Amino acid sequence: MNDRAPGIWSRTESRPADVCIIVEGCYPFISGGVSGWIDWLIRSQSATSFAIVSLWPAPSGHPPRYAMPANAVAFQPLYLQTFGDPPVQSARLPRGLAQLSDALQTFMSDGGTDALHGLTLAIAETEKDMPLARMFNSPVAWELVQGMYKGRMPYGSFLHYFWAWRALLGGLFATLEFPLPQASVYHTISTGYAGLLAARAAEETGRPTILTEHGIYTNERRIELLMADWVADTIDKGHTLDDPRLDLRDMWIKAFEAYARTCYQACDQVITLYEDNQNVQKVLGAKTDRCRVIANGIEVERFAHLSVAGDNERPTMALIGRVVPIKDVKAYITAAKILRDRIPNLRAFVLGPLDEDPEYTAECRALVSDLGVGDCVEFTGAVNIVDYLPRIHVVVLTSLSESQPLTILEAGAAGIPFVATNVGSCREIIEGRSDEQPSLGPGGFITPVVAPSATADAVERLLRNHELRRAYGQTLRQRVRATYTSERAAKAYTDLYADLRKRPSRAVRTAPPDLAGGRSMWSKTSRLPARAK
Amino acid sequence: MAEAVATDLPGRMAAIPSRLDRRYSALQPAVVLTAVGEILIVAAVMRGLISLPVLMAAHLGLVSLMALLQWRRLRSCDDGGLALLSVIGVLAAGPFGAVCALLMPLLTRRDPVGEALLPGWYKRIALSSEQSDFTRLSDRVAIGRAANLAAPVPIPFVELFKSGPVPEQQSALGLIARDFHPGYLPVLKMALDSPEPVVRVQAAAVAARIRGPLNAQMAGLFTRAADPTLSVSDAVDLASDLKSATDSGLLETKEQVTAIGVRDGLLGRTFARLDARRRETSQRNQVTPDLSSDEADDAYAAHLLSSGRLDEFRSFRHAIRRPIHGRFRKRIVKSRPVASHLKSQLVRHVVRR
Repeated sequence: MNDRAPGIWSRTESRPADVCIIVEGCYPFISGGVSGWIDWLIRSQSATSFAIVSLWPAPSGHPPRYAMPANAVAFQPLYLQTFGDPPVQSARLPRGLAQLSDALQTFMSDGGTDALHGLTLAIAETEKDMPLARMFNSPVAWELVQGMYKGRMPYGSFLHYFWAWRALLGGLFATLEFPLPQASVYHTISTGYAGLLAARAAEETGRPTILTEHGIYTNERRIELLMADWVADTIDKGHTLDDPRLDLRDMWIKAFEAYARTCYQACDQVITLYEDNQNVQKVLGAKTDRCRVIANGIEVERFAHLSVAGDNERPTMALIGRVVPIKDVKAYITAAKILRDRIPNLRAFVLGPLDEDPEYTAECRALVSDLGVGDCVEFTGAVNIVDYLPRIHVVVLTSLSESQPLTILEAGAAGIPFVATNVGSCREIIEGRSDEQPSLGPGGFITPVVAPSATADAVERLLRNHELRRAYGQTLRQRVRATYTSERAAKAYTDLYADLRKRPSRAVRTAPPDLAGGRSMWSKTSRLPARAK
Repeated sequence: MAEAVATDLPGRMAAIPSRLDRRYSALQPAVVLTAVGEILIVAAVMRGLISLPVLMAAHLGLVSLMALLQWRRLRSCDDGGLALLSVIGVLAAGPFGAVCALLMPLLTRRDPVGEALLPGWYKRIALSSEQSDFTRLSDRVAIGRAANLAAPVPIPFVELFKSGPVPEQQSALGLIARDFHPGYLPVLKMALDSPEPVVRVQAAAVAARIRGPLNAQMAGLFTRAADPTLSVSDAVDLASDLKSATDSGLLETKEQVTAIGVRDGLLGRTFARLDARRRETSQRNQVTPDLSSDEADDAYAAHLLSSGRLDEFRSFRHAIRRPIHGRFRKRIVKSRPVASHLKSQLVRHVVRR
């Protein structure tokens, strides 16, 4: 059972799971990152049963990268872009179409649990005459899209609006029609469509719902959409940044913000890995009293026995990570060049896989050659870092973007100070959280991104000042042991699940009775499954 | 051909067929029927076959029938004005009104559409790039897609990244990513150092994205720098872009070294040209008319200062006249930008060593 292929399966047809975990675009088909964290979370909660809903655009055929843990009792993929029955050529307009159009416009513009409830009721009314899946590929949908286009952006390109509408609403309807698994607690790992499903679960079952965000999904989508070439600009806004006219890019961003707002409102706990992210969540609508930080952790004992590089050993720094553009390895190499001119016998390791972006790796190697630092910079490929850490004086991160990089924790657990760019939670780990008691002080230096000279200056300070280096390494080790252990993170979730499972269900809002009630593990109707016990 | 048709369209748009035309043509049988009925009734009265009350009843009956037929055909029509006029005309003037009603569609009849006209029209409503800029602009204005000229002037990006709203900073970064120009690099640098995490993250994403295009664009800037016809202000702008690029940390080493050399050469040639012109015209203490921007003034002042030509610097600093609203106003070169130029030259010197 542990290595089951993905598909709809369940070990216990009638018993609800303790936790339904909802993931989008990762587990179990992508390895590393958030997928690795989910695998760790499920395995670390061995006494808790999990149902897993995994959201994807469409079936990909990729094999799962993770074997299902023994406590995973059910799994179901949700495909966002395959919604709808085969097309029909003619259909009578169902009752309540205008209300559905209004409810959709309200929800896509503003979001929120009230708007979600209104949308659910409007869909239920329409479905008395025609199922949503049938309507989505019928002339009724054509009427709906025309009406919404006239209401939202009549000056824009209808062609582009039509396809954006199909993509957005296909995902939305698929999420709203998905048969919810029964569980005591719903736990989503992002906002977006996964967060929307979790919000639906909270609204329809009354059970506690939590969100753990590693990065800020809405902000990531916003960045993608603002830079995307595939989204056509149909309105000339020039350099006016607050032009009220809605264009396709705005429509996409507003939709994801609406989903996020709904999720934040619905969730009992909004968890993130570090404080900076909390600020972003609050801006997007998360309530302060529901926000919480649970940092990721590592097994510190794995690094506890490692010795620290001696003062008389060859000065060595290292970048631990994949050789990919987001890590800005070129800035690291340039910093190595600057530093080698000051410390001639410097050694600079690049410890990480080289095969993820071969083109970028080739560019990095060419840069090493151009700068004449081939005797200093060494690409090792994927290695066991435990073998290298005792030879390293300073670990460096030049990344353009990170969430909570484990390499800082690993270096810290080994007593090595760190120089990192000001991204993700780097500052929080190196300098300490605002509520750290007692305040331990810095464990390294924070530098701006794309600033190799600043990186070189910081590393030089640590390489030349042995006392400072040892003190910072010791501080970082203390902080990692106190705050960033995997045991601590696992216990935080154990306690949280236990607390939430004990809570009684909230009263759910009135909904059309003909939609209520499935009895199996996967409720048979599209919405409103039987209340979890 | 398509362009000619398109530019001619505004005057001939009436030639485009509409559903309305087809609806009106469908009315004709009802009007003909009514006209015939009215004539028969009048003829019957004249021969004394029917009395006046019967005439009135027959007339009203015919008008009601016509209104009913028209109503059925026109209930989904956008404009029932012509149909209403027909009914009123027949009601008021009997057979004469019916004849007028028959003639009305003929008076408003439109020319058939030429086959050559339609492709141009389709291209136009699709805002095809084959249309002239004027046509497209007027259409974009008409539809509501053109830039809003009534909107307030956008605030400079430098100000925006100092104190502007975060969503607008993010939108500005999106613009920079989609339509990159080296002139944006100082702003991007500000964004990379922003205290707002979301702005920093996005700026980093933009930096990663533009790295390739920036290095590709450098070749174009180098070619432009070699153009001997560049004006002083263009040359100084270009030198500023080259400096932004070299300071960004995003250039490959080869491009960075080349950019520094190209910028030095460009400014050297430009200032040498200015010096020669000043010597030729013996206008040592007057502004050279070619310097048309503050940046050019500052750069030239820094050049004079760094060359040790202090007397020329002093006189140049106080001699600049800039035409504003038809009058020449005095501008004194401020020391801070000049110092900034000098500092950058020193830094470059150190880097090259």
